Amino acid sequence: MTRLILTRLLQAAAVCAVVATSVFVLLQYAPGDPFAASLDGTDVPPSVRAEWRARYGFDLPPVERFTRWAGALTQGQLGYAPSQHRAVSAVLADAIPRTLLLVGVALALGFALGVLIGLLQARHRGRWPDRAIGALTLGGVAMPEFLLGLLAMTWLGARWRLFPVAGLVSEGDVAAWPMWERALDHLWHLALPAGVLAISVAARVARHQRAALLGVLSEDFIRTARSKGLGEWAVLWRHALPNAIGPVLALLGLALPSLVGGAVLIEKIFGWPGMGLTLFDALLARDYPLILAATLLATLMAVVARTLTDIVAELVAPRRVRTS
Amino acid sequence: MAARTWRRLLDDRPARAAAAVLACASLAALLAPWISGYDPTLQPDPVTLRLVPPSWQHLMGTDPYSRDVLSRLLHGARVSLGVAAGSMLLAATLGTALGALAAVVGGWVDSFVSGLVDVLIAVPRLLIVVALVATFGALSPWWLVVLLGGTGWLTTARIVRAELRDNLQREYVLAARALGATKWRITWQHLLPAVAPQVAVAAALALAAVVPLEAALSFVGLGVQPPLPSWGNILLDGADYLTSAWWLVVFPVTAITCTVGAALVLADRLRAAIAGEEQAS
Repeated sequence: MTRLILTRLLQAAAVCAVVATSVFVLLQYAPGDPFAASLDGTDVPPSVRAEWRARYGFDLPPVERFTRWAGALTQGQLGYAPSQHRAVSAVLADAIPRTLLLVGVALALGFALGVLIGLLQARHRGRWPDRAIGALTLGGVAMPEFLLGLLAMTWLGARWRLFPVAGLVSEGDVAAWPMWERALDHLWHLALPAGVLAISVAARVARHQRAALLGVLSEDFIRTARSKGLGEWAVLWRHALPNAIGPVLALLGLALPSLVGGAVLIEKIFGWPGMGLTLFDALLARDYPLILAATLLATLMAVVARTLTDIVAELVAPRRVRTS
Repeated sequence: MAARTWRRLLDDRPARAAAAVLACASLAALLAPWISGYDPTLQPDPVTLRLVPPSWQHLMGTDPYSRDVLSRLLHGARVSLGVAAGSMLLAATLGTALGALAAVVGGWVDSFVSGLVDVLIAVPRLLIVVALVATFGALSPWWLVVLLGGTGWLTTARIVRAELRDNLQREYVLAARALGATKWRITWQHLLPAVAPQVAVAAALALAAVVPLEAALSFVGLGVQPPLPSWGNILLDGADYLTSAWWLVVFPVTAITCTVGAALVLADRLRAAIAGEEQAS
């Protein structure tokens, strides 16, 4: 267990170092910089732009900039985001909680729903409810998140006007509303993006959960449980599920990077101002410090979440012999 | 062994249906210039023929620039499926080569390749691809193939390495070695054919991953550039008309979902066929 955590931590550090270095190197070869024409209109004279470059160290040779940047990073300094006129850490402090809320709600909902669907399918295995749900979950996996988001936006948002199509809160004087109304408004805006992501997660989890349950159901201890006279649900819930949920968690951990990717697109589509949207805007503005910090953090989040699922999977599986 | 697995797959009805869907899509893409009724980039009359709902003249309607959506979808299949197939091939080749190298050579080569895969697999692929495309500007479809293929080989390498290591312990490899066959001859003549079904599973999964990726890139304007049609940028053209022109969204979404679904079913059934063959032997 300790060894697993240590290996994973080392790997996480390696991933982040590799990503940081390669993104930094790539940005060196990319055309433009944060102070090229796009920033604050075109009427800024070149001499002023040169002064800005000098102020933020963009005129230094690449190697020196990298050592400076990496050195600052080790002290927790992420630098200044020119496109937003404030510190990178301030931009991220706004964006990260929003993404965590979105992905957290989607993961929790999607995982719970997926496990339940898998149980339901295993309960009726081989019969029509299993097949019908199986077709639905296949569709859910086959339809990329952003397409589902687009459809949900078309019908639920734009056509039937059940949910807002974009943004974090309603327009107008929201700050003056009572606390609970503001919270409800926030949830109402969260519903579509989180719901879409949750459906995607649920479909993936359900397919793995069903397969894992069917694998476990043919084992001897299940026959023992049945011969004790336990009902089918009790067998599934108390005996099959604990043994079948570990691999599902591990697979979910492997799927997390792509989930983060999906969340980026969902944020872009629904105008949810989290990490994904921040990254998109930063890329278009060529805001290098922000791009570096955002890619690094998104990678870090994917790695940490994967490590956590690995550890949870290790803890949940009752029959696993834990070495060391 | 591998031959029996393929035969088992051919006998499987869902697998045949999925293969048929993929074959139809590929055929539509190949024959697009001959079966589509209109030029996909032609804008006959942006005033009167704009956003015409599906009719006999335009089976899938027209887009905001009066272009025929069916023709764009068919020509878009050429681009989207072409990019997807190309990057799938590149990913499968890279993955098989590196996975085989790691398994057969072993030692530090193995540790290096496995470590690289372990590290890279944790990086969100879409993030890297988006970051690259956004910083370097619009890419041609060929560069898209390189980019998507170059970031998609990890799973294949992992599977090939594991399968080859497993196969290296079997008697037939020992027998071939006893007969004096070299390492690389064994790999090429015996090992790779034996793991071909597993590579095919990985390739089908790679296809299922890359079709939405290209669509997503083109949808946010970073992938295939207009006027060249792709399934993703047809969606982009439709995104502003969600309420008024459903046909701009529904048909490309269906095309993408069916292709991905077919690839997933194929991978699933092939995996089942492999497992069944292993149980039988």
